[in-house]
Amino acid sequence: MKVMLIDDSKTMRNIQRSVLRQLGIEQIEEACDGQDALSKVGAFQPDLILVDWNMPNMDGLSFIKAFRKQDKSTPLIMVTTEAEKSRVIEAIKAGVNNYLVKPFTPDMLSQRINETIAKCSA
Amino acid sequence: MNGVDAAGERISVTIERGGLSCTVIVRSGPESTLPTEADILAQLEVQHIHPSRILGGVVADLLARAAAEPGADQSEVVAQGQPAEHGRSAEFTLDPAIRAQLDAIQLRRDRLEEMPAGKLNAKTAGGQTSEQDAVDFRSQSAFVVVQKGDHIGQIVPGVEGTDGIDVRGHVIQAKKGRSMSVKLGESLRAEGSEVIAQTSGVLRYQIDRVEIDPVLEIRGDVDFETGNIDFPGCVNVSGGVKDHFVVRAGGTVTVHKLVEAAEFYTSSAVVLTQGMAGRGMGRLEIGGDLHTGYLDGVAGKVSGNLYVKREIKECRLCVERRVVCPDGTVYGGQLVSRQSVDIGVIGGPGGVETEVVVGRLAEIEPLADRISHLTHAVQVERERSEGELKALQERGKKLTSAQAERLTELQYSQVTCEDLVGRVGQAAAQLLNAAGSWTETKLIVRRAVYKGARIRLRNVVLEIRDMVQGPILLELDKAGSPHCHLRGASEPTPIGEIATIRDTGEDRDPIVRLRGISPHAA
Repeated sequence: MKVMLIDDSKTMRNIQRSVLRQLGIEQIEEACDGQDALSKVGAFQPDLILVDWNMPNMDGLSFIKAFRKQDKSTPLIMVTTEAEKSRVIEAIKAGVNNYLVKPFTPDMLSQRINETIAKCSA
Repeated sequence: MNGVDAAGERISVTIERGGLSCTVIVRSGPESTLPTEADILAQLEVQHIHPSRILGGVVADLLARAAAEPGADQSEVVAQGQPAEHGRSAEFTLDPAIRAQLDAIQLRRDRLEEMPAGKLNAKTAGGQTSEQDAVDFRSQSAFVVVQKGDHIGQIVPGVEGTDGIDVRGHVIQAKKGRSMSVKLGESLRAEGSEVIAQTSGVLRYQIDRVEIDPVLEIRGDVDFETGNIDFPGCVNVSGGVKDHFVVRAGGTVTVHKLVEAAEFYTSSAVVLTQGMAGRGMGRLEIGGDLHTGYLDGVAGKVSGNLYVKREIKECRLCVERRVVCPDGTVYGGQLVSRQSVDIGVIGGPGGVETEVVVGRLAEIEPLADRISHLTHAVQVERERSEGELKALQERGKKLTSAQAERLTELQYSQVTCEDLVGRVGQAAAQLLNAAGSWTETKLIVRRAVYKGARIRLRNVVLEIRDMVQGPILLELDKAGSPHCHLRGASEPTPIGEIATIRDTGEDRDPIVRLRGISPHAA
């Protein structure tokens, strides 16, 4: 399985990478913002994308909107500090499949990843 | 003389080449006495020439020549036999590389005989001559050593032979080819015509026998006669080993007489019946047990147990298992043993510095260091993040975006630290279990330990102040503290009564440190 991590925080990407490894996922690509992710996603062809909301250059929501124009099926999990209900709804409307609010524990992240994979492959 | 008699007189029959050829000579004479073919055949019959051996048309040709040149003798081979084709015996030919080694050994032997005795100096490079075909008597072995599967030689099959027949029709017996005169020992097998070594060992090549002896028997000393020994199997030396010679062996080495300042590198046990006088230059790297009468001026390592009958003097030895020398003395130098030491006397009345180290875990110490440092670092990180984590958690949902991310980091750090603590604890437990089977920190001194002796029980260093009569039992308890029992007393004697504790070793004892990290390990 191939997973793309989009977050401007290297530490956050490392945490996510570590959780994915514990789940047995080794093929991981990283991007530091939405623009960077759009330039890499075509070549990498991920099976799952974890994306932060607030990032420089292109934020997570803009990335999701652009990505969904070309790909409707690849599961997306928004991992963000934006916890307000209206924001969650906005993200879901843009096309995310699941939502995880920071702070989160490694267990919460792995649970959310497993849920999303199961739901999307059903 | 009538015409018939005269004709007969002119015929002469000779048999040559051991009956394989018959020649008729018709002597010169008048035409009237020229023999007929019947005359010649009659003469051949008289000589018992077998009709089947007479060559067709030859007699007629001979007579025609005699008629044409009556003034000259005419001769012709008129009958021929068939020579016997003798058989050829089967032969064994050595592999050219082995042949070359045998030649080199012969050259070595010849050169050695030519060498003046004084030139064979033990301290030189081995009696090398300056000639172009110089022989290094030390490094060049006097034996051909082969490995299992090596090509040893070739069998050239024999030919049986075919009988012949002489001009009289008698059979000429062909000499029969015999089977191979060289017998191949059971250590060799023939694959078609190729002869292959079934085992590793020394090649014994004699006129009538080829075999491989898995044991190298040296009747005499290891010296310039033998060169250094490098043998895959067992070596048995009836003599001793001279200065600066090297013995390498895959099997057990037994030396019946004195070993001088030599070197031993073996994978198995060594038995030095008499002992080794290394004079500070002897070297041992023994892969198994070492049994010896005494050791003097020797350094090295014994991977098994060390059994000594009389004395270990001025040696620097590291023994991976036990030292068993209940009737002997360790005098001067350093004796390190990973397991128990049972010795008669340590040191001497003169106060010679003698160090006996028991239960030393040199390999474990750096690992225990790493585990300790890692445990400490993890604990520091956990404590540091715990405070910050609690402060952020107390804020409840009133977190900024940066604080939320920081809280995620801290939570991750806590999980990682817990995981690391668990893994380090497991590593410590595994190391302790392994160490438990490797070490035994127990020293038994049967008769006496003298002033000047330094005893190290793992990391605890004791210096003996005055001579102490044995039997003495010194050992460490689970906490790494030394205990002493004198002369069979059930109650321990305080260590301070017999020795000064130079170092308690508490903070460095790897076993104690590992137990601190993994208290539930065995």
